[in-house]
Amino acid sequence: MNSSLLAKELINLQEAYQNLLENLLPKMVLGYVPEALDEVCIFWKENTKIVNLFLTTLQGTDTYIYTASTFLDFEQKEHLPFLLFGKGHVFDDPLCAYSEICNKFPSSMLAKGLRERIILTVDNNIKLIKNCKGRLLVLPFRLLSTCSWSERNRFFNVGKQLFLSLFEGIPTLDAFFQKNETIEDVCENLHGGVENEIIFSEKDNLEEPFIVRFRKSQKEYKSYAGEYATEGKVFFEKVFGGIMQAVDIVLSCLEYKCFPCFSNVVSYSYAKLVARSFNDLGNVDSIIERARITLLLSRVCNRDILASVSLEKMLNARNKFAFEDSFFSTLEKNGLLKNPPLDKIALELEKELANFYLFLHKSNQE
Amino acid sequence: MTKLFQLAPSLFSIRISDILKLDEDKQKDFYQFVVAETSKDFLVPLTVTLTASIAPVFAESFYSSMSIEDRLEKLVRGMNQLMNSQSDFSTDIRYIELFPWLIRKKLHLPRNLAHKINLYEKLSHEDEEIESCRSFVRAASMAHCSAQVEKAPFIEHFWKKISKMTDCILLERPFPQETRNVDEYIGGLKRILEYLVELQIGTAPLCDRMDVILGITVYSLRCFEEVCQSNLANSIVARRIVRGIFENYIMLKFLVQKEAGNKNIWAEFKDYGIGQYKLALLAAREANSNKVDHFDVGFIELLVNEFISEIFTDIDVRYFPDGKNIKDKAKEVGEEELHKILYTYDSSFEHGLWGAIRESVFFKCGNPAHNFHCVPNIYGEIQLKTVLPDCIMLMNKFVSLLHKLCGIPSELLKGVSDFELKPLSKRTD
Repeated sequence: MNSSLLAKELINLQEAYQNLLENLLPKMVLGYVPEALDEVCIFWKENTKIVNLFLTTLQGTDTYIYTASTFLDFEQKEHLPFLLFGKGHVFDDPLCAYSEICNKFPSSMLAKGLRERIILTVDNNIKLIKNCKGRLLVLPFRLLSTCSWSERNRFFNVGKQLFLSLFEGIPTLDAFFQKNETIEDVCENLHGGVENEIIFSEKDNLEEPFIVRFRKSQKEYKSYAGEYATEGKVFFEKVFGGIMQAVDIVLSCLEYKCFPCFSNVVSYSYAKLVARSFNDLGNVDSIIERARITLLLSRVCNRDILASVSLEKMLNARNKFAFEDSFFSTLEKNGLLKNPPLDKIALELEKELANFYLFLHKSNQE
Repeated sequence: MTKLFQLAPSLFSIRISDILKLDEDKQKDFYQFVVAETSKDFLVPLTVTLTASIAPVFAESFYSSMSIEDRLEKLVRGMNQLMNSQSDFSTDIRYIELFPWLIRKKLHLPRNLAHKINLYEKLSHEDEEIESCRSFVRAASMAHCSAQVEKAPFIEHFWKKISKMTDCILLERPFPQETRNVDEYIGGLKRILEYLVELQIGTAPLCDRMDVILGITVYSLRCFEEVCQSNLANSIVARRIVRGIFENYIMLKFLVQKEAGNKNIWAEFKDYGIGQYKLALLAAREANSNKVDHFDVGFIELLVNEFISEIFTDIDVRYFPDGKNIKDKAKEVGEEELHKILYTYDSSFEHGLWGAIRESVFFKCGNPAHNFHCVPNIYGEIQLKTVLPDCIMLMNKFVSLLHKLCGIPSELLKGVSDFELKPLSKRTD
């Protein structure tokens, strides 16, 4: 951010959001979740213009967005590896999206699990804002991007076309539902090879056949269409939902020229699937490549080591060590910049992290 | 209202700010009553400002799944209806605000005023008699509002929230883009000037008088033509040009008037102008740098020394002549009225005064939630009214003066002094 007035506004806004969430949390615990979420949405509606202005200044500032996640777990120190790459960091707050879901059901019908998850998100947002003090901003990134607000219908059509493009000779959704009652039908109609790119859950074992993976994931899934929904419908719900979210993320990141970070491999896989169709739009390849690396980073990073010093010290060490630049120059030196195999990136990341841990340790002793 | 006062006997107004101060139970009872008697939907839009953390009982009572956009749209529509302070709706609201004070005998009014206000409720808006009651209601309400010392925090909160949540509605100006072609008119002016130049060359090519008369007129014509050639008629700069043409005309008329008493005035006018160039030249030499790029020191030096060496050229820092300003000159030549209107108005553009800034770079926002503020327009979409008719009016004044001074053949005057500008068609977009 290059404007001090805007920076000040953003910090005030984060403080105001923290106060609001602290105020609303007890009400949510008492059961007023939809009313409280409504106020969260009103808060962001009220501040849309200033946040949009901020997002436009993100362009080209090496900013990372932690997205497609209920929360960035502060207690589990998930924010620490996220802060290793980039200069700007935003957590894509999902509370407004939850409000949309809540509005569809009366308060009494709101699933207990969802209510609890919302409360956890609020609690975690408070911790992030309070402890990260402007180094990591909590903003409803996707909700505020201009394409999300004004082009919802076009989004739906893009998502629909992307979904249908996974199949051979299925031009419409009606045709999809007609021809795909069982997961065997789906498997038969998919383009060759696509079945290996679709991931249903974090627990998916890609060594297992597509049909087995689908049925295993179905055990933990409750369909919107009810318990008698066909496998075809459940497949649609899962995959179309993933595609729609990925379209939103990829287009928002392209719009503001920033990089998405995923906490789970499912969201990443859909973003990768979708990005292929946006090849002609800007730097989509680098967006996906960075997403792959940051996802890996979150897995291989030892958060306890990063947490062994204060956040301030960790960030200072990161800046001095120039973690991101150092890592990418190593990749370049080793000819690994363009689509390198995962195991090689993992190896380089581990080496870089090991050096960084040492550097951190030394800096802490100085 | 009766219910509200039963619940809160100490309450004298039905302002939201006061209702929100009631105990939670009383608020709850009242809101339940409102919902039962009317419909929840009426007050749902207010939940965009009366949220769970600000007004928990209100938010709980009126929460609905109505989208934020729909709520805002309803509020803005209501505000639009209230924006005219003289409307039936606005007066009704004022009456409702007064009513509890009246029935509880907390507001004492002169008998005739009280009678009119009491009558207001009984008459329909179509009734002729209500006209006289309305003004009493408004006057009493305004006096009553200004007498209330206690702050209404909801009002401030409401404006702060609603103004940020809605978008500007920029209102377009009614002035059409200038599209009329005046090439023939300009051609006519040029033919007149060609004739006069020929006349000068044929009669007195070294005459200062004709140099100045033709110089000022041609300079003004060039300014006018630049407005037309560059389609500037609706622009800020065109207003500055009109001011300049007017100033030129006043100067010429003034010189003509002063000629009888000072035959040398034409040469003095030229010397004064070159003296001003010398002043700038000296400053540039002193600064010893090319700070002003379009001030070409070498070329200006040539002009300053064109006929007389600069050491013999006087610099007069007052207005020409004898410190007389444009207002004095306009008065002397009988153009005081035009000066008061045209020169005063266009000078605002010349000097960047607020009136000109407001007119030329600010759109009016028609969103009542933004309290009709103004929004600067960066991309020049604001259309000012065309200056073309006034340019023609001024150029024709030059023509009349030249005709009076030199006599212009009537053939050449045709299509110029009788030129009629067609009305400009209204905007169709």
